[in-house]
Amino acid sequence: MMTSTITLTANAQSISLSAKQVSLARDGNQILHNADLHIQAGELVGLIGPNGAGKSSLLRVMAGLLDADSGQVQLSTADQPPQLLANISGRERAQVLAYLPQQETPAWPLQVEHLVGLGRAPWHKPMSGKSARDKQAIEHALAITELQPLRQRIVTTLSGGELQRTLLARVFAGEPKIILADEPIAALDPYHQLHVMELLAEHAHQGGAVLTALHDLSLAARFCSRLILLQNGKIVADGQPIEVLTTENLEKVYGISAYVDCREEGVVIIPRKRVI
Amino acid sequence: MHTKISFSVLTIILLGAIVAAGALSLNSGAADIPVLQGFADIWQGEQSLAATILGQIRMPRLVLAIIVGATLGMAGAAMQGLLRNPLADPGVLGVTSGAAFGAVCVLYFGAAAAAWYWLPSAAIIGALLSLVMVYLLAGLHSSMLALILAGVAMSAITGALIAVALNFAPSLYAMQEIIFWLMGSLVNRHWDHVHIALPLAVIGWLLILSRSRFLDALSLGEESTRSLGFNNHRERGILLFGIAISVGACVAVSGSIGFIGLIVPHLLRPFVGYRPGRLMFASALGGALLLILADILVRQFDSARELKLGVVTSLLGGPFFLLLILKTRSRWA
Amino acid sequence: MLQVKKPVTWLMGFLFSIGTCGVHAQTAPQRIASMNICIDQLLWDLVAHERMVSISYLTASPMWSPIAEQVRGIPTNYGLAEEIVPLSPDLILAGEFDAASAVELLNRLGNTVTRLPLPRKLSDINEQIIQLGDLVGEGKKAREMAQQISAQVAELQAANAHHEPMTAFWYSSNGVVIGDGTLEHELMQLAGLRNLAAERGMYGFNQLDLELLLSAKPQILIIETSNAEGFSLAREYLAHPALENAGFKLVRLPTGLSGCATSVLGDVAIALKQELAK
Repeated sequence: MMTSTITLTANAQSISLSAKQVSLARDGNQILHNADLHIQAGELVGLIGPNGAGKSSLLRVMAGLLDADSGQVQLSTADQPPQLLANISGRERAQVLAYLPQQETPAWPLQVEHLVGLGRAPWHKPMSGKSARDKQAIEHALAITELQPLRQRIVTTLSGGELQRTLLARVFAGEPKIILADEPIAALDPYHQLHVMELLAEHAHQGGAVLTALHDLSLAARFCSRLILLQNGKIVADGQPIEVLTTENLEKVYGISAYVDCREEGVVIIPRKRVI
Repeated sequence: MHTKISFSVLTIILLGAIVAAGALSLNSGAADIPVLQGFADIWQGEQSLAATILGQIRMPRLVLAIIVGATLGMAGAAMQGLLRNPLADPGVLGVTSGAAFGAVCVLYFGAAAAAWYWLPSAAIIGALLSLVMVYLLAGLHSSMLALILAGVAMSAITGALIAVALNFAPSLYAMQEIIFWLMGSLVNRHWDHVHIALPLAVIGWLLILSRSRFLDALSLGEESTRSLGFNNHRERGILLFGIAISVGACVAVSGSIGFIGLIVPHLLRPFVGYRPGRLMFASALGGALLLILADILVRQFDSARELKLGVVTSLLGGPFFLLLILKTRSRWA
Repeated sequence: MLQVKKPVTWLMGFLFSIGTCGVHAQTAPQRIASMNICIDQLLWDLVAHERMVSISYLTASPMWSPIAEQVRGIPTNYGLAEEIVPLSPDLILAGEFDAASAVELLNRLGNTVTRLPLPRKLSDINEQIIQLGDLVGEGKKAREMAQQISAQVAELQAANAHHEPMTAFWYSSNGVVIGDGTLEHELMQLAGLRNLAAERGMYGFNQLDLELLLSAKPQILIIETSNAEGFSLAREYLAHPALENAGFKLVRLPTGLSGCATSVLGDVAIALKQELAK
């Protein structure tokens, strides 16, 4: 275990989340290997890599849901010096950091409104109803995800895209600074994929930080200010999309050759052929 | 599927129904007594027949019906919220028979007489062991099928253990009394039984209801709930403990009455917007109501051969359970 | 004439007495086997204990038998023919409903089994004691026992003959009240009590709702108490608080009438007399 290097920024608005030398092994397999990762305010960072690279595990560790075998995760907020994530209470952590898991279907046919309202849990005082701030946050979440016309609908009757937006709205309702999302657009049609990525980008633009695992390289390249490429638990590349999505990396990590181009809208990448 | 009714209105309706049913219950019984006169006598301290029957027989029976019904309803809703499964119920999953086993061990072998709390404590331990076993067998990520199978296994095991214990009991009547422990009854219960059950039941209720927010959040899933700041293990532990305490205390005095925890939450769920937290409170009221009504029904029949309360709830609940299974079949495995 | 008759009658008398003495000495069974706990208890009081070669296993069990300690050492049987036959008993006794297959087998093997019927009336009890006494050659002792019981019962009757008959229920486990056609009912009548269960048309043992019991406002409630037994819900019926405050007199009697009535009848009659006198 290495000693930590503290990341301080002078900006009062800033928050940051760092993983330092995080390693994790399960059933004899090394899932994460000395991963170093840092995200801060204003960034939409994409976590990419092939299946089984360890993206989900890394996100879980950074969300404080999984304990690494070695290494640390640190959280730094505006009014607090950087702290070990493990030392922060669950409630305090949840007020700053939100996690959107890959595929969790709601157990009961709740109304959209109510499900979104569940995101206010970290702010609830015991024995009290919804505060004005709660209502405001829920309204805002419904507004930015364009769910207002659907607010009374039952979640089990929603389409895939609508449900994903609802789950995202739940995340927004908690007013987190940092969002960690695991494959949030996996099962969505292009329209909804773009919508969700826009929402995440907007969150980063407003001063939040987003780390999201993605499969779609094109969207990752377009929306993310930074990409982190993971292979077999090791971080292979960390930088701007055009720096990370090199022919060499694509061949080595994904085993494909692709058409990569820099356009005004951003980087375009189209997989072409498998490289055996 | 969702019925537009505010939570406060629902609560008031249920409370009103309980009061009405309670009045009806005090009027039910083999003897024909002037109920109001009986109350007057009790108030004035007079020892009339009506006062004795009302005060010593019917009132404790009603109070116990409320306590036990509320516990079973709430426990059912809590287990369903926890296991994210509408088929969970303390009876179906062998928790009540586990409690009955604990009670039988202590009662029939003389240990209960030592102090008032030995009986409910043994029942609580029995309930807790069954609950933990079911939880380990079925868990959170297992299918509905796994849950039902776990329940079947626990019910079979605990039922057999009860039979064995009664077989070796010193009393001549023990073996016949297995029906009471497996089916449950409120006949011949009195204030001592209320004193045993009430304090522990209330403690259990408080523990359970205090986890309402957790159960609500659990609708999202294990991981989301943890990410919202809940310590899932701790919350779950408190909830299981609360269920065991309240169910154990009640089964110790009434035997294991089944299906209340299955029927009531299912009927009330649409009225609370399917929210697990509110459902627990509503189910407590609904459970009390249902048990009072069932007990009134039991008293309409020939009192010479007592129709056990658990038989009535099983006759209602069994087919209900079947229907529920058919309805949720698509979610199996 | 007279001179001839006297020696003949004397001789006849002499022969006769020798004959009957012989009969007595030869026919009193020395090896008695019994398959019934109630018969065992009677035998214990009637015969020398060495003459009992086999007793029911229940008699040796403290849970069921008051003489369990005393009978230790006597071989027990479970009502099986193969346990009885090797002991070569000269008298085998069984109750009315015991071990039908064993009894049949024993009869076939030439060992006749004598069945004693279940007493259904008070008079049956004395008859049975005398019958058993004659069988085992202790007729005189048996008659003394029967005499004592009759006396105890007569005392019961005498003590309450001049009272106004009081209403009563005999309340047993499981909320059962005892009606007409039972030993308990006879005792109650002898004690000068009106059995409310019988007056309701109940025959035998019937469950009666507690509320109805209280509503009938009996003056006396007879309850059997037992020290030996463990907890059971059946006995809880007798401990309901409503019975304490209901305004009637509680009479507590030792249990046993529903078990081996012959052995306890006297005690019960005495206890009933004493309780009612209070």
